[in-house]
Amino acid sequence: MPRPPSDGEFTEFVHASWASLYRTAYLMLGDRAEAEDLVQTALAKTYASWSKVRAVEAAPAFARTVLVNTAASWFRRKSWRNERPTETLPEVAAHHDPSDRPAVVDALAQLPSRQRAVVVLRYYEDLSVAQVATALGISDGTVKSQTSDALAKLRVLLGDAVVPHTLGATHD
Amino acid sequence: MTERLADLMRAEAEGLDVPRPASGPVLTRGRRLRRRRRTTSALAGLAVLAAIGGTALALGGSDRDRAVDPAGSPAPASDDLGAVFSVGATVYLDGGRRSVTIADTSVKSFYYTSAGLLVRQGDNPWSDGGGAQRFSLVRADGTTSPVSVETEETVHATDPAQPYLAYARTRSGTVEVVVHDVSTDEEVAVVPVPGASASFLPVALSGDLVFLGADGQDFVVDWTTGEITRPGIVRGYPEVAGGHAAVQGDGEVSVVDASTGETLLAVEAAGYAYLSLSPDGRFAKLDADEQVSGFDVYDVVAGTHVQLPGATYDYGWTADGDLFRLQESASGVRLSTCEADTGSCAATEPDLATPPNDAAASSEDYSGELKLGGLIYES
Repeated sequence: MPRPPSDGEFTEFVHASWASLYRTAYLMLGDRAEAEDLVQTALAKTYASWSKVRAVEAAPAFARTVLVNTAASWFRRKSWRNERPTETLPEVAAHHDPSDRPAVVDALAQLPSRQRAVVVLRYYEDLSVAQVATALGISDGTVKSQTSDALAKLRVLLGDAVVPHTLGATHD
Repeated sequence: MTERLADLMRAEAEGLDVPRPASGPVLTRGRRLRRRRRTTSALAGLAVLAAIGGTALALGGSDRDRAVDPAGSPAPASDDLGAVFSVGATVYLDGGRRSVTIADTSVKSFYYTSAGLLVRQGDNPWSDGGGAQRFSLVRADGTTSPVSVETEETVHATDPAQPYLAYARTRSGTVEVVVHDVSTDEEVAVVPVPGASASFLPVALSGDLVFLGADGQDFVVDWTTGEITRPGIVRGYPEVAGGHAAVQGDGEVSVVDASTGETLLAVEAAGYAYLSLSPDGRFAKLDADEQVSGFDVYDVVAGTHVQLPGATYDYGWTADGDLFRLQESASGVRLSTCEADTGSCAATEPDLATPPNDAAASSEDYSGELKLGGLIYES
């Protein structure tokens, strides 16, 4: 990009990308305030790194990448890990009454942060295993194992109709 | 397969009540981050690779960049100027990465405004007894234009969030507060202050209020309405920034709310001590006899403080509250920029055409005279 954006241009970009980024952030974090913080942080970093945005059209993808990277760095913080769900499988019976099943966001909230991010990136953002691995700074194998664990938990919480038993972590 | 899960997530996302885009705070944080990143780029190892959209990125940041800001106005343009200093008539912006030369002999001092950096200049670097004081506006993009204000033996003030220069003068025996818009180069208000009488008329500007000290009489002038009050909160030489006022008391120095007088920060101090506010009023540095190995910098609202090495007078302020100083180094000059809330500092070595040289001033050669942004240089 030949020059930094004017305030007007960047404001326009913020308005255009805000809602989409917020939705992804909310699904990944499960908290509205943290989601807004993440989006603000990602967009501020995008502004500060504007020279790396190679074309105007690339700015939305750039900002989304920054958002995921920032979330990943938050997940690595000890304080963040201590405040989040553990790896323990939720105690929900397999024969749970479907009418009492939690909303998907509540089910996602039962997952550890990184597993939650993996699920959102793979099935909401529709990224490949390799793309998720790169975005979160983990190996392909970790993405697969985290996906498998996450889907097992979601299956318990949401039922086979939403997460069929046949699903593995091999979809690429 | 996973279509149902994806559908549920999409439905959840689409049903969200999305908050209003906070473009102002994003711009403010972005500018701050960009400047900080430039400052620390030689020191920080930042590498986070991502591949969404096939773009490779190198990114970084700190927890200081976090915290949701309410939607609002972006920071003043002077936030983009970073560490500002001058050597002689050459003004360095952004920690020395850019420079402009003013059409005068020497810089006297700097003022941060929302329109850019206001330079006070003249035939010498003196603040007192130095003859005519002229002004130039240096914008964030490096363009410069003269400002038609010319004064002598006058104290001036700005608010970094506004494009105004305020000062007081005496015309036909009446003291007047003058407000000049430096972005349009127009005088926008002249408010007579009946009852004020003094040869020395220091002022401070914060929001719509001009605080005037007039030989023991203290006035607060709302220059937009002409209303004049004497609440007695700010006395003497007014030091007010961002709605905060630094005041001295018996055995302590403090920062109060300039409108209500509520004490926000109080620091016990035996002997000589005073607090100097950052241009935005968020921080204050303590200058005290008892501090020998460094000095304390306070977060006015949080009440916390950090210690920085050296002397307070060696440090200037950026428009948004970072501290910086220039020191000689083996290879030339080292610029240290420090965060006022964490005390962490980063150093760069700017390439200056002429290094600072105080000794030259004795021979009336002011080409080596160093001035730092955020210092008032008033006696």
